[in-house]
Amino acid sequence: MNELQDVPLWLWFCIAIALMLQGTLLFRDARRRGRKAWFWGLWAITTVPSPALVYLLVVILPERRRRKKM
Amino acid sequence: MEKDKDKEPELYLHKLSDELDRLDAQYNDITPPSLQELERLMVDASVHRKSMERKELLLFWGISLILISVFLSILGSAPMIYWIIQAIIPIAGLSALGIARIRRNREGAQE
Amino acid sequence: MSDQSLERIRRAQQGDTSALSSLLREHYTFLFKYLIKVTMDPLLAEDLVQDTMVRCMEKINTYNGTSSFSSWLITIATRIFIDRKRRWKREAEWKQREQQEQGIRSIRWRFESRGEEWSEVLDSLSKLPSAQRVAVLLKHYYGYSYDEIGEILRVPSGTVKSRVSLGLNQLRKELNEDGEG
Repeated sequence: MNELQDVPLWLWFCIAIALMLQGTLLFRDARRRGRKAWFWGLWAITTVPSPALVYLLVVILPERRRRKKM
Repeated sequence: MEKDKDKEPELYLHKLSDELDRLDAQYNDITPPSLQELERLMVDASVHRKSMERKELLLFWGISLILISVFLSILGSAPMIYWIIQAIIPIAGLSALGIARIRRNREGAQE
Repeated sequence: MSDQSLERIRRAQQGDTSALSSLLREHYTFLFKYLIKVTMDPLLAEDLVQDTMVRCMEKINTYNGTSSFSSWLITIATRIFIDRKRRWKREAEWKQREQQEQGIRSIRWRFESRGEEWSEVLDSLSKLPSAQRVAVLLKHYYGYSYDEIGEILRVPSGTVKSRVSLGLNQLRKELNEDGEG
C-alpha cells in the first residue's frame, strides 16, 4: 500500500483527466436520458471504470432492449 | 332490494361521467394557441433549457475538480477509506431509490 | 392511430418543429380538458398544459408507440402535476386551500354565467385528495386499467385500486349526505 505514495505526479494527473472525462460523459448522457445525472456524474469522477460499466448495464442495455421490442 | 344496491355503483358512475361531460362542454370554446405561438414556446423553452444545462455542467465541473482532488488524496494516503467509500456509494444509491419508491406509495395511500 | 398521425410523430421525432407544433396543437384541447378535471383549477391547468407541451418536446424521442399519443401526454401531464403538488406541500396549507377554492370558484362561475346549474358531484370531486381524484378519473372516465394507471403514476396497481375505491366511497358518502340532508 505504501507504493501508492511513490506513484509519479503525471500518473495522478492522467487518472484525474480520465475521471473527469468519465464523469462528464456519464453526466451528460444521463441528463439527456432524464436519469439521475448528478448521481452518475459524481460517482463517475470517483473511480473508473466501475461506474461506466454499471451504467452500461443498468441504463443503456435496458433501453436498447426496450427499443428493439418496438 | 339487493338488485338496487348492485345497480347503485353503476348509476353513480354514470352520473359521474355525465357531470364530467358537462364540465368538458363548458370548455368547448377554448381555442388552442396558434402554431406560431407553440413554436415560439418551444424555441424559448429550448433556449432556456440549454442555458440552464450549460450552467449546470459548469457547476458539475467545479464540484468535480474539488471532489477529484479530495478522493485522489484519500486514495494516495489512506486507500482503505477510499475503497470503503467506493463500496458505500452504490448501496446508498439503491437505498435512496427504495426510499423514494416507498414514499411514493405512501403518499397516495394515506390520502 | 391514423397513418397521418404516425407520420407526423415520426417527423416530429426527427426534428421537424412544425410537425411537432401541429401535433401538439391537435391535442391541446383534449389535454387541457383532462387537466381541468384533474386540477379543478383552470389557471393551473393552463400552466400545466404548457409545461406538458414543453416536456413533450424534450422527450419526443422517447415516445415509442406502445401507448397512444394521448395516453403518453396524459402520463407526462399527470407526472408534472404530481411533482408540482409535492413541491407545494412545503408551502403553507392555507395558501394551497385558497388556491384550490379560487380554482373551483372559477369553474363554478363559468357554469353559472352560462345559465347552467352547478353540480354537486363536481363539487365533491374537487374536495377529494388529488391522488384519489386522478385515480378515479383515469379509471372511470378515461377507461384505463388499474395496471395502466399504475404505470402512469408509478405506483403498484393495488395502490391505484385502493385510491379509486376510497375516492368513490367519499364521493358517494357526500352525495348521500346531500340527498338526505
